[in-house]
Amino acid sequence: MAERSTPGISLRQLSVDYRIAQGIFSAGILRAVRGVSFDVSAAETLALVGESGSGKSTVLRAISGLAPIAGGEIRIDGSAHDPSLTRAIDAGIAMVFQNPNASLNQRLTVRRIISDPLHSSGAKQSQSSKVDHLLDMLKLDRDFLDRYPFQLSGGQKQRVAIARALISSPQVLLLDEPTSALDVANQAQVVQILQDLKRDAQLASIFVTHDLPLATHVADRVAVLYLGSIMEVGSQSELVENAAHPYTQALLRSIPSRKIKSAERDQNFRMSGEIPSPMDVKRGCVFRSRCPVATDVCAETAPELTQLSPTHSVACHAVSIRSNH
Amino acid sequence: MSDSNGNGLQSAIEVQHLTVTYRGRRGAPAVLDANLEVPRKEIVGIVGQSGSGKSTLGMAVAGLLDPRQCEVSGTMRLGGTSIDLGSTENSVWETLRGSRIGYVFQDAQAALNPLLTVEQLLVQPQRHRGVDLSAARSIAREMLEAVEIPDVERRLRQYPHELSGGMKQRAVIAAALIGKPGVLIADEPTTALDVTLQAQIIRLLKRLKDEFELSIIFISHDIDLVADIASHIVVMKDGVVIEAGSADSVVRKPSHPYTNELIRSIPRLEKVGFFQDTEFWSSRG
Repeated sequence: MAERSTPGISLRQLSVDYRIAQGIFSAGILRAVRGVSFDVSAAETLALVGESGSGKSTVLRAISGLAPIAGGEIRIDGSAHDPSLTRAIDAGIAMVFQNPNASLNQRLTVRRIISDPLHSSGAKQSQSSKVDHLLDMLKLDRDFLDRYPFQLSGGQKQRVAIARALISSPQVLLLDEPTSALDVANQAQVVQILQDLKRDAQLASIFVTHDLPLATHVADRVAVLYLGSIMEVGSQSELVENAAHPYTQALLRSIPSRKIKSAERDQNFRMSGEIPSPMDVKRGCVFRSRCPVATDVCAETAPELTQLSPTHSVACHAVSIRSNH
Repeated sequence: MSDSNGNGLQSAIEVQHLTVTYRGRRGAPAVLDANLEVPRKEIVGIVGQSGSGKSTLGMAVAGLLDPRQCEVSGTMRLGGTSIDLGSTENSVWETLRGSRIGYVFQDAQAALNPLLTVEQLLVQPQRHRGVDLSAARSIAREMLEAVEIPDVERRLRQYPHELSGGMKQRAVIAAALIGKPGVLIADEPTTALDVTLQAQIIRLLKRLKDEFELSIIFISHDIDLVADIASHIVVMKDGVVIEAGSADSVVRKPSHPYTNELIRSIPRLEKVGFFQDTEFWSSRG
């Protein structure tokens, strides 16, 4: 990926290792994220898409200091950020979690929930005007301020969580499946709010989801993750119409469609099996155990992300071989 | 439904005038005067949002509603058997469940007893019906192969927590089919699964339908998924069946505006600018 000097967030070869107990005395290493690099500039949204165990949420947790970083670098607006030294809120990072019931303190009023980050960052001035402004932005009524989370609907709770994330005026907004607990109407409302925000606040957003169609609607670019590695990155049309990676193609064909019955889709491509355990990933390409076009080279070396266009990159030996000929 | 010939013998299940009211909740019944017909060896999809009554309908058909908690009325023909959905004793349902009607729940983890191995899970219900041990064991093996679980001998010795999510749901389907029922009710069987696993389970259900000559009720909130697997679709809203017909006609020419809304509410790859359609979303209130 090309270096950019514009404000935003950049990851270079970020890796995350978890220590997993195996019996009483020994521990294994689970590499949840393996060398992930990307850039998200201001007012841009990158979606991270993947199945369970792809490491998509772990990337966000590592950026915000909630997961142990084993290697690599995070840069925010060009300067290095070490989550173990600087709190996320001080580095201009805010996060919205998947489940608002778990992420909002049930014993605090909405007013306290939204304004608490300001106390912790030391800012005092014009608090209430800022809270009011956010409520307007998120289309929440003023009388919500004195209510408790249990008095709100799922969509309202998630909007409160977004307001809390925005009160510290972050440059980077991390969204971990923010709509997966909501029904379709609330999902649409939250997504629309996020898109307005991105434009108005010049935020660099990273949107994690397992829903590829949703990702293509909310994001400027989509990165497809598998076992902690980026398989392919591209714009909506690049991924939907020109998916180069066999995994992206399999994901696309797995999505139920009214128009194409699965029997017809299956003739083109069928992926069997499940994601292997991240504890026993062999060297070479992480996808090769399920890949229909894997060859000997895939067992030897992991493919690098190769550019197909300024916004479209893919990590697949088969694609590189094809494009070299 | 379109291919009904009136005598009901061609259908595997015919539910008439089903009404379910949960006790202690004043207001509308969870299901109101619903009719449902499942033709033999076909898949009927029931689609609706949370609270539409689709799961309650499925549970009523399998006699899984607790009469202490809800009031049920209506009748059902299951093959040649007439069943009063409101007054049938649980002992009668116990003879029907497993051997005539199988049930697959959304949460495979919760559906499998964590203290039993896969083999015990598949052998015990057969022993209960008087199958001898060695026959029950070999049927358990055949069934695991039928649901495409690889490495059968190892899997039989494992406990549910040792299986992945997709594998667990396959084991649940094997358990539901072990008594060779003619009807399978699958309530959101893929909602907890990733999309590639979902595609595999859908493929499996279609294959099993042909292999075991199953008639399937497939319950889901996802109309695209239902349109893919089912030949007939029933749309429910607030406990009422608002539309029923062949999958093609319901999806291509929905007659009820709510069905249209369900179809429009799913973000799709081919629909660029979906969330920019502000007029549509603001009209939803």
